[in-house]
Amino acid sequence: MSATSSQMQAPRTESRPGAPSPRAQRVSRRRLPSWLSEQRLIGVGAVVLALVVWEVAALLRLKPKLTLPGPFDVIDAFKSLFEAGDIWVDLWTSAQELLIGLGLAVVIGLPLGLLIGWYKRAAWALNPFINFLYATPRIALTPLLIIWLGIGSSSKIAIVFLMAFFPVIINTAQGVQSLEQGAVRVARCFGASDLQLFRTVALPGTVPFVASGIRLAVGQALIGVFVAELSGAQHGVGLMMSTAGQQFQTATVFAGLFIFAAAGIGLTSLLRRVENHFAAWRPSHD
Amino acid sequence: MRTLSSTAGHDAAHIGAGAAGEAHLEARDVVIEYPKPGSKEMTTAVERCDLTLDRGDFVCLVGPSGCGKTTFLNAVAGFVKIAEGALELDGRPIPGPGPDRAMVFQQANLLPWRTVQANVSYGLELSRKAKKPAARQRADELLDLVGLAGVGQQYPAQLSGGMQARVNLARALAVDPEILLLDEPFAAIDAQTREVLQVELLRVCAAREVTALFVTHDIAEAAFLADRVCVFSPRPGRIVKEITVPWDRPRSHEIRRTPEFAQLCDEIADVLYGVKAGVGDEKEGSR
Ligand SMILES: Nc1ncnc2c1ncn2[C@@H]1O[C@H](COP(=O)(O)OP(=O)(O)O)[C@@H](O)[C@H]1O
Ligand SMILES: [Mg+2]
Repeated sequence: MSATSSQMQAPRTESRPGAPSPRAQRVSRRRLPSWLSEQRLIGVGAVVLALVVWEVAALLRLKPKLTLPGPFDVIDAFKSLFEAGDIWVDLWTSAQELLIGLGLAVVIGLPLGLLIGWYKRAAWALNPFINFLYATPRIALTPLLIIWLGIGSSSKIAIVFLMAFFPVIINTAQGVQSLEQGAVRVARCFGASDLQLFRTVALPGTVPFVASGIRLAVGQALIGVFVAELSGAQHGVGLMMSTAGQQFQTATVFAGLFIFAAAGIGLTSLLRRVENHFAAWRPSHD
Repeated sequence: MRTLSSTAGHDAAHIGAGAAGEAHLEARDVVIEYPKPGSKEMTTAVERCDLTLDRGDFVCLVGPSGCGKTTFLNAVAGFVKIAEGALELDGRPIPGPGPDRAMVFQQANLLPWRTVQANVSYGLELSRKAKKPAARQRADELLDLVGLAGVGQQYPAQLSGGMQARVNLARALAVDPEILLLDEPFAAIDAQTREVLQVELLRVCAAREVTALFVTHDIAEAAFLADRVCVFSPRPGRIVKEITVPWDRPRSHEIRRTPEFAQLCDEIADVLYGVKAGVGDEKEGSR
């Protein structure tokens, strides 16, 4: 009892109010190197902690190793995947499906979104189809598309496209529709033609909407790749995962999961960079 | 009614109109209607409005909100068609929006993705009147004129409300309009900044020799700025009285403290609130 109370008193005498210890001051003043912000430090710390918990859980053998491999088992799985070499074909196939499907979704969805956002009549004509397809679980079209297009890449691309297309077109259209009317009036007041209004107001004004649409599309596209490959494929990371799952190579399944996650994070942060480049005008959030 | 001596500023500021005796902007019995939502009937927003502006005039429109001031301004800008009467610019009916008239809106409505400089040169860019470097140079000159030298490369989000209002004005002036249409441009700005901006506006108008039609619901603002103050009745709006302001422009803050200024404000308020309440003695809020 007396020991605890003296322990509690000790720091109190050290840091008297009004006279903060020189040490505490120095710590709070010391600047972290620029790459090591507090935000990043906390983020990395949390990830490391999660990995440790995972490893401990795996070591404790709460579940058999077959069902719950630890982080190191997953690293081993990665190693053997790349040593065997088949993974390159899978990666290449999936990446192609993902990027082509996503690219088509943007190339077609963006102008169509602008069109239906700009012209009411275009929206009236296209909305029934968009609403129908948006409301159906599009992934359920997979069997149909495989019947039509075979189990090669084209059916996968079609599914990825269908998944990614809607966030792009819907967000873009919404961006045009929610344009600041004040900005439109200013342009009109200065005698802007339709084309000028489009180029100087509609296009730049929708950039943030388009960007978030494409970011949503990336997530949808990854779902598309995975599910499409499950329902019949020759190569691909999704197929690799499902095969590994059937053979209870749980660590390999985890490896595939991380590949998908990495693709998602990589694409999203790339997009964020592009977005920041186009939206330098927005007040920064940090 | 006390009358103010008619050595009105607009005669002094008169700067060679086209044909002698021809008004620059003339509204005769203008009626403007809007379709009632959900029916084929029309509501009248502006009723038999008469107004004449010579070149270089500064006229303020005051009136209760919803009386059709913005609508009238939009008609002059060419956004709204008139139903009856005549609305002529240099003797010709107004065909639509044109670069000879520029609007300064209540909300600055700056394009947030453009720099301040690019916002000011926006009108020039649209009209393709000037090449890009020339437009930029002109934008810088105008920013200088409105007291914003050196902020050209910033974005609107970085500016205060008062600075945005200045940019708004500079943008309208950049296209070198003959008529400046201002729709409560300082309404959203704090009182102190507003008074500073009023003096600046008069200075800028004198420098550019523009004709100005300024809508406000602030009586003191109208009295301080205008050569003539036109008081609107409640909807459907009609000009019930035109009051001449005796001072030459540009003006300085000192006149706000003169008894004549207070009298003038009272006179405007009498008309305005008399019309509004149907009685003549409601002087509350006249300041
Ligand atoms: N686009 C419109 N459609 C229908 N009615 C309108 C429209 N704009 C204004 N009005 C009506 O016309 C009247 C005058 O409006 P406005 O000119 O904005 O008034 P003020 O600017 O004097 O406050 C108001 O009663 C308003 O409801
Ligand atoms: Mg108004």
